[in-house]
Amino acid sequence: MTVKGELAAHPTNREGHRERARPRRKRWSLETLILVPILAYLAVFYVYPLARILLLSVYGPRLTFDHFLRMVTVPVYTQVLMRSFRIALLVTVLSLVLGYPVAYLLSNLKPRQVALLMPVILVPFTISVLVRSYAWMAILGREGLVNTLLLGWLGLTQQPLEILYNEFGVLLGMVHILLPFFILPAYSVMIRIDRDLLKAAYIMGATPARGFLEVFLPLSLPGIIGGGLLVFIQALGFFVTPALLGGPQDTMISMLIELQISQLLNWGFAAALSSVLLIATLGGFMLLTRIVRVSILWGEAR
Amino acid sequence: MRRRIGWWSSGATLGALALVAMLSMPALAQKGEVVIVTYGGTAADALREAHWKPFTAETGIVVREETPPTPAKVKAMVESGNVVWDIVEMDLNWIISLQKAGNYLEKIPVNQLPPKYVAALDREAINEYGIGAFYWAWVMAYRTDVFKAGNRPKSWADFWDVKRFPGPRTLQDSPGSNMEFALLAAGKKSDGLYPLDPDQAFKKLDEIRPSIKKYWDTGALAPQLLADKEVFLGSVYSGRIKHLQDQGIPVEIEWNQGLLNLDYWTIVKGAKNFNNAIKLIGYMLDPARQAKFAKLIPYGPVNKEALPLISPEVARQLPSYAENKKRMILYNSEWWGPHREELNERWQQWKLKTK
Amino acid sequence: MRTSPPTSWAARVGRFSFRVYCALVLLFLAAPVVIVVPLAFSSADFLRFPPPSYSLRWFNNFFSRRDWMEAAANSFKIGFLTAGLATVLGTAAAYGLVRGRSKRKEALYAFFISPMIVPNIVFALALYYLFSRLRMVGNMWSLVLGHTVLALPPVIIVLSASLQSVDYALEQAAMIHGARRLRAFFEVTLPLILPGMVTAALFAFLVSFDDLLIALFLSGSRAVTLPKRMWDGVRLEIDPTVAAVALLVMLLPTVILVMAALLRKRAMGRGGEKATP
Repeated sequence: MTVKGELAAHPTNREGHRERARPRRKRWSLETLILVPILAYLAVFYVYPLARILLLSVYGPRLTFDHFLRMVTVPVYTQVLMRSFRIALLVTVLSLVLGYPVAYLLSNLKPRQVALLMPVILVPFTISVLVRSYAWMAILGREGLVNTLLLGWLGLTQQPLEILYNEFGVLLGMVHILLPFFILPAYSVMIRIDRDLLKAAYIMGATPARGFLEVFLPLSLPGIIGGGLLVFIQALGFFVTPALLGGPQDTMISMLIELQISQLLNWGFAAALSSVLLIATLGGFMLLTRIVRVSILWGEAR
Repeated sequence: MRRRIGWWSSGATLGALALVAMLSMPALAQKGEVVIVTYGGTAADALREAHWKPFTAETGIVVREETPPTPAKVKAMVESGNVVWDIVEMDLNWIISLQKAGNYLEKIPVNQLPPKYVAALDREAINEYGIGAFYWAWVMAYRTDVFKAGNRPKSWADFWDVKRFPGPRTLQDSPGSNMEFALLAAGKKSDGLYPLDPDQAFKKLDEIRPSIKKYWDTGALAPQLLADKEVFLGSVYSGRIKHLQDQGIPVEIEWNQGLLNLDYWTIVKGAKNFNNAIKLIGYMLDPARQAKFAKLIPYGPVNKEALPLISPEVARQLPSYAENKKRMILYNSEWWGPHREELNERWQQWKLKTK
Repeated sequence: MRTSPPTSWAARVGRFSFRVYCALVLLFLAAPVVIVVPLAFSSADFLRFPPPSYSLRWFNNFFSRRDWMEAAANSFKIGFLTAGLATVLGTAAAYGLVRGRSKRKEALYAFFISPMIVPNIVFALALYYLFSRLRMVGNMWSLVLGHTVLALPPVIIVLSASLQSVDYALEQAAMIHGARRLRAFFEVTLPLILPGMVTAALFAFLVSFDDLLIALFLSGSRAVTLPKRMWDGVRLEIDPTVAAVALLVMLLPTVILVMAALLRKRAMGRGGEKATP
């Protein structure tokens, strides 16, 4: 055991009671010590860099709140922040509308059928965001799939639809990518709902609609909130999709951050924007962990 | 315990992946390498064909390409001591801006370049911190299937005229060139253009903002948007349109009121492959290769001896061709150098406005 | 399995339209994946749809150009290293979580998963700041170290599940028989979670292979990854080579998913034999 290991294992013994490092009965078990490598690794390559950036937002050469002030006083930056929240919210709502029925359907299917349909959700999920956003460019462009179908083959429209390089395209792309993040947690929660409760409701005379609204829906709420939060906090920080599919009016926080570094070398401002994004995201995540046990989201049996 | 086939095959797959990784590792070059940063796309393709491939063949030095060049990255690199670029393509106003802010570029040791090339260079191609790469121009380009003969935009005032020439447009994501175009559209005469009046320029730009569908930040994006018909007209790097025309895409450029400019090869301060960089820069000054480059993409050579090697049809497409040159305005890097930073900032904010 | 309340005609219509709705959503999920196929084989120079004719020229372009091949090689190398590092760290972490008796399990678990939630752009920026001061920008290892952080969440998720399915009693049994802790782990538990480890490694590989943002900041000409090259390709090139690469890249996770599913099947098949060594 290295010195670092000893110190990590006995943090309270810094006052010099190191003789206690070798008790007759080991106080710190293998299970705890085995966590040291990952904790150390994350501390150096995860926590420290993020903390440094947070620090950079207020402490350049001197302590300053200028960067944060800039965010709220310059209208265009405030707009970018507002827009990011608005788009994230829209994406969440759309994911809910599209995803809840699918999750519900899946939770009612037999395992064989689920095994057939799951890949439809999971396979796109594993394909990189870049590839999927690129595919959407080909679908939504003026001479892309949708317009070729509508204009050329079906003759439903006269002019090509403007569905790329604007908010519509961005929403479509983002919803497509984040939908599985809603469906999977919602599904995990839904399959745990005891169907006997529904049966009882029907026996007692409830209509299907009432059974759903008053029994199923409330029980599925953790899944909705969990999935919804998951979608929201990820949508806030999205970069690739809005960058590829959006127009100049659809700039989101992440794009602004990238711009500050690649074009303007404004570390302080970039750090301030990052801090806002980080805090909002982590805040949402902590809220998530309060409402839903995170392990449930991935279907663990605890 | 019986071995399970399952994890054996997966282990084998992982092993196979590792093998692929090792095998595809390119053989390390004996003579080293040089990192050159350009604007990519068809321009880089032409440079590669005309200069870089033969350079590697002759010297064994590997040419690693990167894009795009941004002064911010150069600064970041030099300041952190982590210099990964060697040669960076940039125009004069960036050189001025960078050297004004600090010391980010190496002085070019002209005496280490082949003297017969240096003697034949245009005067402005030799700068303390850069050697000329090629002449190019910002010009207006438009789709000829939308704007048919007789109703073609001929000036920046036309570009701003959304009534006569309706449709989505694109402009570069940068104040440089756009401010000139705006002022020209507002009625300024070519010789009274500089010093630029930012307030007037931005005010004029406000008019056109609703029609800008997307701003291009790479040389390939503008022609791409035109090719996909996402925009009907826009500003472009003059040489990028030939590629489209060769494909039969109905796009034309207008030399009138274009902005002529010259890009330089610069070397980042503290570049790791300084000697190889000098070698490559010298290599790229050869007139025959410059003529070949001009044929691949219509950008003007800086070596006067390349001109007789260029056929008349190609010569006509060059921005440095007399007929074209006289309709254009020379981009004033001297003015831009000191104003670059603040106008960049202002531009970014302007772009984000919704009305 | 559904309870059956009385099915009126209205209910049947409702159920039918519900199914149609779900089918549309699933179609929505699958569509973009499908469209890359014709594009990749298109002979046109631009993202024309439908393609004028078909050809393999973009695949040819991909395989014959050094910059594309180097990017691919780098991505494989970095992915492999990330998979290794993340699996080792993650297995240890999962073991500590699952077997540990700490009251803070949930909090630790959330902490280990959090890299998945932290916006990639912020983390990428933070790493760029760190590594540029360490003069490691453009170095392959900075990418490995960064990707490992991102890969740890899926690794830990998979391995926690895997470890939970292995009965602790087996390890205890080995220890009762005289094996020391470590030996019990390596000879009893490890072989049982090996499928889980391989699955985790595959997912870690995927995370690294697909990452764009960290690569955007940290890659230099020596360490260009495939996503970075594709990103440049989308913005700097007009031809659909990117589509061809995208198609190839899409096959990879599909293959990996299939392998993971097969592994799970074997593990489940083995689950019934848990008690027998």
